[in-house]
Amino acid sequence: MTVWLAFVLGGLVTYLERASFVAFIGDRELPVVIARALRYVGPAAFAAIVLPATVGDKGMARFVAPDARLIALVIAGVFMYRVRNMPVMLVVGMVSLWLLQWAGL
Amino acid sequence: MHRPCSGLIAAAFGNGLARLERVGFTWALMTKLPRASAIAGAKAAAPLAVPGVPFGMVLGVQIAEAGEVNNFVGWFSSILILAGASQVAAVSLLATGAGVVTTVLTIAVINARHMMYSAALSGRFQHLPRWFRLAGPYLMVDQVFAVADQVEDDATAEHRMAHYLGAGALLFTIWNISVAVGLLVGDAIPQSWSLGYAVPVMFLGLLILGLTNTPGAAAAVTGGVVAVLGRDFPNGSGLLAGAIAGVVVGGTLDWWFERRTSQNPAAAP
Repeated sequence: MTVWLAFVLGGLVTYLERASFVAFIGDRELPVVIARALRYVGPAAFAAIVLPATVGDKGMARFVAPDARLIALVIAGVFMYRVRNMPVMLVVGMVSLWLLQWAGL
Repeated sequence: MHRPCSGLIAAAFGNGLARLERVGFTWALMTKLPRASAIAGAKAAAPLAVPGVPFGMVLGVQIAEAGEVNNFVGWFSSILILAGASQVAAVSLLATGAGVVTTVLTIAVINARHMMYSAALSGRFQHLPRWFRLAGPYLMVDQVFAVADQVEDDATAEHRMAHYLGAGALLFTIWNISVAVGLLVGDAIPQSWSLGYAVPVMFLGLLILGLTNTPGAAAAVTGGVVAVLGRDFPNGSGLLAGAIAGVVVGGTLDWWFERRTSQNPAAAP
């Protein structure tokens, strides 16, 4: 019962968060400063997902002693910045990781 | 609009089915959406759905191993919540005997970034029909937001809706199948392949696609660093802290550059 209740309420809360502005409170015009700031939601949130998932428990110390995951991420990032092709970027990231791990990093 | 069945329905069931008819009307509207736009949305989402496959399978394995969580209930949580990171956190909390309040709070905090997605899209969704603004957000996973955020500003309402629903439907389907496969097949893929690594790589790709200027880069650096420093924050709130800090820094720099440009056009960044 605990499990069901947790999932149902968790789903409801998640829906309400997603619907919040689009469905319920988005009808008024936002101040221009806020509307412009919201253009940075993507970069800010995606970076907040990427970096902790890459460096792991070591935290910022990873930048001093980079491992295969961090180096492969940089390679994939530079590739994406230049070529802007998502499927190929995924391949580049994974193959870089495998090669670096195989090389013992 | 002429609906040939409405007279038949009314004759058979009386007028009490007016509401059902309205549902049918909504359905008719949905099926009238341009198919080409829906396919374009699904195509844009396809590469983003691939990294979700190993991630979903990891969640499936985790559900199978969590004694406290029944397999079907665990899979169904995917339909209910539809947000990977929060589902992984919820299942591991429930497996260690956490209560409803802790679990729901954790889900709410991890998914709070979706409120920011909602705010970022609300201006462009303001003039879309009510049914879409109520139903659409259910599908608003990270990748769907990223795809919707890239749609041209002057797109028609029909294109915007169909594009969004095409992307959402594809990600929804692949995610829920992946969780089921993980549940049924288990550790079919060796851990050493590190397929889960595709998830941060994909989000880095989305990040780079969304980068257009210096404030955006500052928002990304701030968001990433704050999230790393806050990785031990309670209930996984480091992610939210990073996202908020990034938007504040990006927005402030944007405002500052804008002001400087309007005062002295020669100093444009």
